[in-house]
Amino acid sequence: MDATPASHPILSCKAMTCEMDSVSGPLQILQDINFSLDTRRALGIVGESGAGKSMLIKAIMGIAPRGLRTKGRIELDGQDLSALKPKQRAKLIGRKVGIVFQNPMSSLNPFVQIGRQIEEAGCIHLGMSKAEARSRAIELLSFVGLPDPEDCYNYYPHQFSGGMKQRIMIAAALICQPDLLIADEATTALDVTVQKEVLDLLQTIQAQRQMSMILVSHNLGVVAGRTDEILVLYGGNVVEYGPTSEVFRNPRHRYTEALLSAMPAMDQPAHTRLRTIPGQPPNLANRPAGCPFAPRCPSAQAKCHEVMPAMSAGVHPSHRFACHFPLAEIAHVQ
Amino acid sequence: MLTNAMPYIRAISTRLITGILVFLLVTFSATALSSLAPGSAAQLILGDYATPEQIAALNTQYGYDLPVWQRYLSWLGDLLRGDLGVTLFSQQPILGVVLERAAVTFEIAFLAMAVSLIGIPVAMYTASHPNKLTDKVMRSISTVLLAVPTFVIVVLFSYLFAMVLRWFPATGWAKLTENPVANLWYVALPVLCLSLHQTAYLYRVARNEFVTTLQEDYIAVARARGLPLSYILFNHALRPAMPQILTVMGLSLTYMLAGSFVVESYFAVPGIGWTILSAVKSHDIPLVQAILSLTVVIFVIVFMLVDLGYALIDPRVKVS
Repeated sequence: MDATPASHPILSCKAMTCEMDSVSGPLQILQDINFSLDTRRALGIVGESGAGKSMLIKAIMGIAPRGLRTKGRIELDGQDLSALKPKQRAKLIGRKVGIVFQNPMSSLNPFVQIGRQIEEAGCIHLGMSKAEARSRAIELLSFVGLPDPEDCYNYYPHQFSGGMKQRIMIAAALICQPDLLIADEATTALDVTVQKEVLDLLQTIQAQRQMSMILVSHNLGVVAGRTDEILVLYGGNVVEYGPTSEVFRNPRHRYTEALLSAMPAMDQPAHTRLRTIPGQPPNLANRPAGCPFAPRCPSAQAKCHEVMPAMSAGVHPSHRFACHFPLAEIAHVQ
Repeated sequence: MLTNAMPYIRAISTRLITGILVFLLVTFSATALSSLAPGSAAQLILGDYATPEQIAALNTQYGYDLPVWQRYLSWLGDLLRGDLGVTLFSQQPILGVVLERAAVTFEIAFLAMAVSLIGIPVAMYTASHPNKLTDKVMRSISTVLLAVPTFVIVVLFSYLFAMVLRWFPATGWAKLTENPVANLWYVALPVLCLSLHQTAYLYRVARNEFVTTLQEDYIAVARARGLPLSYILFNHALRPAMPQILTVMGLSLTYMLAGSFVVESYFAVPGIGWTILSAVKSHDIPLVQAILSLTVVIFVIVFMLVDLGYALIDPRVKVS
């Protein structure tokens, strides 16, 4: 018998839309986002800069810039977040979600000892005593791989390297034993070898602590072997969503396919020219009426410029994509 | 412990040495200044109708006919002996007079400084609710306060609080050591007038500093952790904003300690500002020189403390 409890959705977004006013009228930053992440599963959110990845995370976390209007339903562990008062919402998110941001250099307060920054959420949300919080923080510091955690506890952020700082951020994200860990471009600012170390650490932690995880990245390689599902964002819309292996093996949306072929592969002959995607992501103030990718799509037809494609299901039941003329399904090998 | 204190000791000593150099330079200039005045210093002091005998007598007494460097050296010698001579007119020992007046100015300056600290929590609150009503109101009030010159504030306040409401006396003085309650009653209006500008200035600087700090990534991280706003303000925003606030506090303090002429003379407060004003008017050169020297000492000490404050606040700043 399986001892682990039955899985249930830890985070789900239904018909989530984000809008913001600008000098050139309202900007549709995110349109009709739907996804659901179960316990112990990992979700990758990918897309180019400006696709809305970070805004999606910020809107979920309730730290979006002033003036962003979020509509739709966001549920965290069965709780409808929009029904909560801001303070309760912040507390619930702080307790259940740990987050690691893009830039470890600026994410830690340079004026506060790192031990304090790790333990503070535990003291406030879980009512840990000073001594308890301290021992937990030191334990987490050694868990994320910092040498001499007892000494590190009293150090200030400038005494650490970028990779170490990101490990400290991860330790801080774990203090309340969250159900969900979000890594928002957590390794983008690090150099490649450190990137891999930190990603492997995240993956290990997720497995060991039985958490759910969201990996946000513009780099498909980052999410490839580390996530169960993948959500591809383009211009504030979900263009493809499905099991990671399925999407990688069998991309249906032209944008996903273009992204995949823009990735260098080991088995290509030397000096192979990488494919790029011509053009620019859509201007949010002046959206095309049809598919947001149509202006850059090599296979776009008249219909693509006029009608927004709806989400349709692939052969795999949970594989969905928004394309009028999807790529052909490759024969399924079961 | 000693190894921790060593950099501070070194930093203080290097700053003291530069401070002494600045002190020598300024006091020498003050001595030289009296030689730049038209005619001789003795002529200046005694006025146009002095007889040559009177001038010669004053010259021998104060050495105004000697070269500048000789006068300066003898002044320095006097200073080291702790005897700067007597004031020209009331014939009181200068050192005693200056220290007594300085104590009065210090009291008012520190009280005004303490009052102006209200600006910091107000800045914290309004910066965390930018462009809300309180923020707009406080910003307008501080702009108005900064725009109104002190001499207008002084007149308005003495009219309102001393003449109309009769809460505080318009002029008068009681020594702190003799009658502390009466002393507080007398300093109330000068302190209030002096602190208005400082409060408004400190508020503006602190508000802008808090607004900038609250845009830092680490504040967004703290918010994402669901920490309460008050916790974030006091534990994550206050310290990063402090260096800038400290700079302004240091400048305000030196400004007030060097004596506020307007406030002190209007309320007849026997402080440094009032004293130097009357000393200049009556050409009491030895007294002016003594007060200038004290002012230099104050500046050097305050700026040294501000520098040390930076090192204590910001872990990235290395002392010395």
